[in-house]
Amino acid sequence: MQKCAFEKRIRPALFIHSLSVIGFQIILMRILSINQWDHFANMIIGIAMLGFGVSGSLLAVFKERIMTHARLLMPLLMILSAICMLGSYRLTQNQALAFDTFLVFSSFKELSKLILFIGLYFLPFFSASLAIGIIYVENVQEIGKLYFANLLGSGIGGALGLLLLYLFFPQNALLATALLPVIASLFLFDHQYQKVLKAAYLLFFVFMIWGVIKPMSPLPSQYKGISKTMLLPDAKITTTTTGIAASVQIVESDYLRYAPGVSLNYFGELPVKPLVFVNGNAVGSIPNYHQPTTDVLDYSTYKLPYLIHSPKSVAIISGGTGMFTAQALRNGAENIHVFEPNIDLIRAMEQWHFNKNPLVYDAEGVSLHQVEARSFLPGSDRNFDLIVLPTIGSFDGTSGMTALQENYHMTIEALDLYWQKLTDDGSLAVTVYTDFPPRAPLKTIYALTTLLKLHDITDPRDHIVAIRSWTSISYLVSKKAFTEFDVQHIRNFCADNSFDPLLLPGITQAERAHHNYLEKEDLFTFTDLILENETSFLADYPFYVEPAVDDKPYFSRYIKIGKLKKIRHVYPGNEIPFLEPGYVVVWVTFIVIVILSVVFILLPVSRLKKNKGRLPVLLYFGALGLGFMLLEIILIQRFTLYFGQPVFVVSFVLSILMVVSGIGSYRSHKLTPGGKFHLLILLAISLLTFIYALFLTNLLQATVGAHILAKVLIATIIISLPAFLMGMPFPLGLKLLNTKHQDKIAWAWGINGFLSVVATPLALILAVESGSFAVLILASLSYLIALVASLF
Amino acid sequence: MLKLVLFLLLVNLFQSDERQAEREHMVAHQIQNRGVKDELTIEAMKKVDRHKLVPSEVRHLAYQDRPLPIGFGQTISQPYMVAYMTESIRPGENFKVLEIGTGSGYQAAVLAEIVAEVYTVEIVEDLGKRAANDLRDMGYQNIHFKIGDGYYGWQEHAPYDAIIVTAASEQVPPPLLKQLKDGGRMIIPVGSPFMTQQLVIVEKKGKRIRSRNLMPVRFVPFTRSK
Repeated sequence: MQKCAFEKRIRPALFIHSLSVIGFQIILMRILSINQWDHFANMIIGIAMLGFGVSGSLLAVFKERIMTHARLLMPLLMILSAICMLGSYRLTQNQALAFDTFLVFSSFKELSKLILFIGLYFLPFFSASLAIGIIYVENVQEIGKLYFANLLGSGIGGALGLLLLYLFFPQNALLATALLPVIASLFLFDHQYQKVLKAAYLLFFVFMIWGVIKPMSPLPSQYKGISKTMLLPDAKITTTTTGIAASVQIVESDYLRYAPGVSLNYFGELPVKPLVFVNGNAVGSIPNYHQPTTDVLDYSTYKLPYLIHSPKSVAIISGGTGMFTAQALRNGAENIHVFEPNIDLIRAMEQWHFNKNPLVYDAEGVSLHQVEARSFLPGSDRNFDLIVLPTIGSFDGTSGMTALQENYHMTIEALDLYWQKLTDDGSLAVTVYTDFPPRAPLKTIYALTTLLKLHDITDPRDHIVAIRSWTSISYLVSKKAFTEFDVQHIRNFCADNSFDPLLLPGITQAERAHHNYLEKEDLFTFTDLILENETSFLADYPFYVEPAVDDKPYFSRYIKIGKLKKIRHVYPGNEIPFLEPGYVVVWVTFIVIVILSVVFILLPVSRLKKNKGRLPVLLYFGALGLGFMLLEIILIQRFTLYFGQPVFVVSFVLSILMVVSGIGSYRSHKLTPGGKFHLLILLAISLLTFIYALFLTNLLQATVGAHILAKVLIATIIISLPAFLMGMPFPLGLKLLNTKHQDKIAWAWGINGFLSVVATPLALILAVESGSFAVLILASLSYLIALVASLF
Repeated sequence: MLKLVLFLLLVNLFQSDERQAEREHMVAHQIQNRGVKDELTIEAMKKVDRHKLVPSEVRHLAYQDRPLPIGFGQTISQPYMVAYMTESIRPGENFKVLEIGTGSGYQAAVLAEIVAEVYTVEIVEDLGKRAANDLRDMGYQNIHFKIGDGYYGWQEHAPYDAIIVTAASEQVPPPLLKQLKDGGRMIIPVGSPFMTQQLVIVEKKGKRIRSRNLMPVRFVPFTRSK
């Protein structure tokens, strides 16, 4: 009777505990994004998440000893995970222990700090997952219901983490999350061990009170934009906000001037403006468009779209702080639609402007849409004289870090959509930073030329103009061919500002580098070859400059892994990793995780009974972990484009996937492990994933313009169909093990954890190299492997 | 007492010689090997005690082929970069050079070995004062320091034969171009502070201003010593 009551308490305990683990992960991602840069943050979390796998291996090796003390360890590990959450955070935000990404490569001291950093964050994940592992092993007959509680908690935990970040600053959100495992432990409190447990509670409350009395804000790297800006003598953070998408700070100083690429012939004053930082990275300045000052952007190549036309109706994609909106207003635009999905950025600017000047987004004629244009425009009947795309090639410390960032604005499908939304004499404008050897400008011209060919424009030279300054190139693509009058106007502007035309109808080689010399003229030669459709040189070109497509939306990824030798001629020494560090970091993460996974998966093997069960267990649970995560990642990617609101999508997809999987898991208790339904379920998931690989993109494209409620319904069905089935194989597999190979239950749980972690960098690498189609095919194959393994 | 002074002097001389050998190696392998030819620049690079301008904890790495952290989120550029930028402005003995961003003071010291006067401006007060003290201790008399906003340059001593901007920037402050002598050259890195950058030379000839994109450079190579 007493045992029965205890078992009933396990499910709510597991639910609350799972809430905390995912909530902690979400909050930690934010904290580390502020500390460092996104890819490093993800790497650290990825490695720390190995705690899930390691706990399984440990449980397999020391099963008897651990399970003897299960009643003590379950609540104790929960409390310990909470203590480690708080303790790890405090230690890693200490100047003496905090590591710096950019110093890791030059100093062993810094490298050891990084290892310590990972080790500290490994602890909460390890203790939390060991608690879950013990619960599973102790109650394997109830695995379906327990897995349901785990998935339900995980699903809601994602949303909870975001909610806490919306309500509190990250350091306070962390305190709130750390309370959850302690609450969970109360359900499992065993009076037999009250002395030990009370001591653990006491220690937790010491950390908690310390956190409340002496809160610590996340410590940004000294190399982040915000840290450097705060060194200015009078720099002040005048606004700080936190939200579900980002932490935003607005800094003001009499020394802050921002005029990207302004002409060398401009001798006016560069106005002082507040600078906006998202997670510590500068994203632009706030324009004061009410003051009758000159818009310095009109003295840069950004002026190109306003030189020959006076567009009245303008769309600004990724409007950011409003610099390009202010420029459009100053150049006579009357109807401006701005798309900026970062709701926290807008919220911070609104908060800032209470005591200042009105925001440009409040100006007459300006409509702000807080979604991505890709999801809004298909359902809209508006047409524009001009569509301004976001600048390519970030200037601040994150450039090169963005190689793996999906950019759905510069894919062929995106350009095609924008083209359809132009008026008959409308045009598209895009600016890129110059680079050497040329990469971004070549990819841009290739994409624009492909767009024109899609619309049967045989000579793109009549429809594209481009001008180059000492730092940037602006392109303008027009539906109507440019006239001689237009061309002369552009030439005059270039002469006045020391710019050079790169592309003009009737251009001569001599005028391409009149003001701004290049040591090598590859940019000109290759641009011409692409325009002439003579792209055979690209096979040998060491960089990837073919246009991005929705299936591979990585516009900023340039390195061809197979051409590294050739790139070394351009960048000698060990410089290549720093060309695209984001991609390198993902490879490093992948390799480290694979090595650690192999070691820890093999570690318990000698303790397991020598029978046929080992390989099928490894394949079955490994394939399930891999397949689940691969599908999850691709669904998040696809629906990000569909809804145009990335933060909402992560939470939405995770919640639906986990909760519905949990329901599937709950229902699985009626099925016979190893029976024909078990096999059919695996086959159905594999087939469904294969069908998604073939048709999901088309289905989403066809309905992207639908009403938001219809889209939510469609997305819910698409996610729920496989999710319901995906919740069943794991508990069914564990039940099967319980009858055949009881000694391998903990090992199986560990394998599943390891492969789930491996799947994250693997999915990214595969998506970059072969596209999301390939990732879904691998997910489908994973479930087929599980099907085959289950037969043994 | 005299013995002690002599001992310290000898130790100092020995240490200085030891680092001189490192400097020679640095110039031969990192600088001349990569194509820097200007004799004045090469001689200056051989003379300046780079190790005296970096924090004590990284002093042993001073002559390696990499930048080093100097605090405040700043770095001292790798030796090659300093040599390359110095050569690019084609320094002459009678030159008056403006440097924006004193940082460690190393670039100013190299320039001071070649040109007549160096004017250097640093906005971070602690950094500027530290560099000024270090360079004065090293005996440089022709370097003039100012704590202030580099945007405005140093109007009182304008015009300059050359201007070196040491921090990557997205814009060239108009006052700096005004303070550049006719026929003068300005060098400025463009791009992200930690990734590959373009070095851009700006030349002023009458009313015409021209730029030249030099080869890509990387301010943070992070090459580990073997």
